Amino acid sequence: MNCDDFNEVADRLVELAYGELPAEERERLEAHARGCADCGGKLEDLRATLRRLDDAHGGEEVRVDTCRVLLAATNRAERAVRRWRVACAAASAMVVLALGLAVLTRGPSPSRMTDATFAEALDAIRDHNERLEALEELTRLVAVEIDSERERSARALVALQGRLHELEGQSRARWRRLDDDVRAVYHIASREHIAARE
Amino acid sequence: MDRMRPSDNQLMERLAGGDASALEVLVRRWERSVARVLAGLAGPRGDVEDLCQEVFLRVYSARARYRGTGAFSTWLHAIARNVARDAQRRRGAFRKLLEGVGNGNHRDTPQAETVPVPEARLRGEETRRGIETALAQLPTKLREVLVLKHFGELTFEEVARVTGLRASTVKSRLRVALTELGKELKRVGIDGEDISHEL
Repeated sequence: MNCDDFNEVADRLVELAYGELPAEERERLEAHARGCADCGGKLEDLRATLRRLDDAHGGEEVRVDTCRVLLAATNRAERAVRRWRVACAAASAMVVLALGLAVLTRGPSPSRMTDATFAEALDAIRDHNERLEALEELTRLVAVEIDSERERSARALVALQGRLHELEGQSRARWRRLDDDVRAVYHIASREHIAARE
Repeated sequence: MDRMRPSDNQLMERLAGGDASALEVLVRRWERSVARVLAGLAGPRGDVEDLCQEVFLRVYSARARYRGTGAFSTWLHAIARNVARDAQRRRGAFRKLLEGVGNGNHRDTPQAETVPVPEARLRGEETRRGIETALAQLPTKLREVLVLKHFGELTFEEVARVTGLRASTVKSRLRVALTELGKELKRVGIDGEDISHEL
């Protein structure tokens, strides 16, 4: 092995430092590093830096509260439904406004509007109404889905809390048993101590 | 015993099917790794607990879309990386806002502490903070690779999948990151000899 292409060898040294080289290649590279001052020094520097990084553990004391995660998910879903409803209402208002403007500004004035034009406008309004109703139905279906999701999350939360109480009960029972055992040992030791003194 | 242990993908399937207790198992299994990665990416001042919660919230929200075609760890760490990036972006915007009102001294970046610290003072917690600060001074593209590899304990291939880089690029970036970090640690007096007994 030679280290003419120092960067490539140095990349292999990183793999070596992480212990991720196949056995044969690891032995070859270690043998090279022992005889090459540059690579040997580089390997030692890498290992020293990795040891320092191990000293900088961070975040391992964090404990994520799963109930909070589930609640946050439910709240987020509710906010999404609210936004969707507001958007639908705004879109409906815009459509009605646009239709009104179209009827008022297109063709003859309302007083001189022909039967045909009037029927056409009515058809257009009916068509838009149908679309709006379809949109509202869609919104309602999404809301139902979110509600059932919220119910599922709530049931899951209750189940988790039940499990937590169960574990707490078991823990308390264990502590009581341990306490009883300690008392028993203390009484026996006291009796033996008194007997020994007598 | 391991045969009884459900895989991550099985847990995600259970979660998608409405079994929220699967989330509890996933959280307990991965929270430490995710927290370490977030602490490394978001810097010593990052609120790791909140970010961690956000990661698992995104996991829960995406349960129906999860396909399980790759390793769960890769997907999870990609989410953690995105959450850390979003947090940094928010922090950057907040800093700009403060600078905009003429209060540039409110620096809330990992790069805030650049003054060399005398070796004699580097003990215990200070040493740890010094290492975190040195880590935070690395450019993001180097720090991400280093943190995912070292604190996320991913393989080179997994880091490549999370970051969208080639494995060879991951190795090169990791080499540069470790070299730069080593230099910075020497500069602030945290180098060579083993100091773990002081911590």
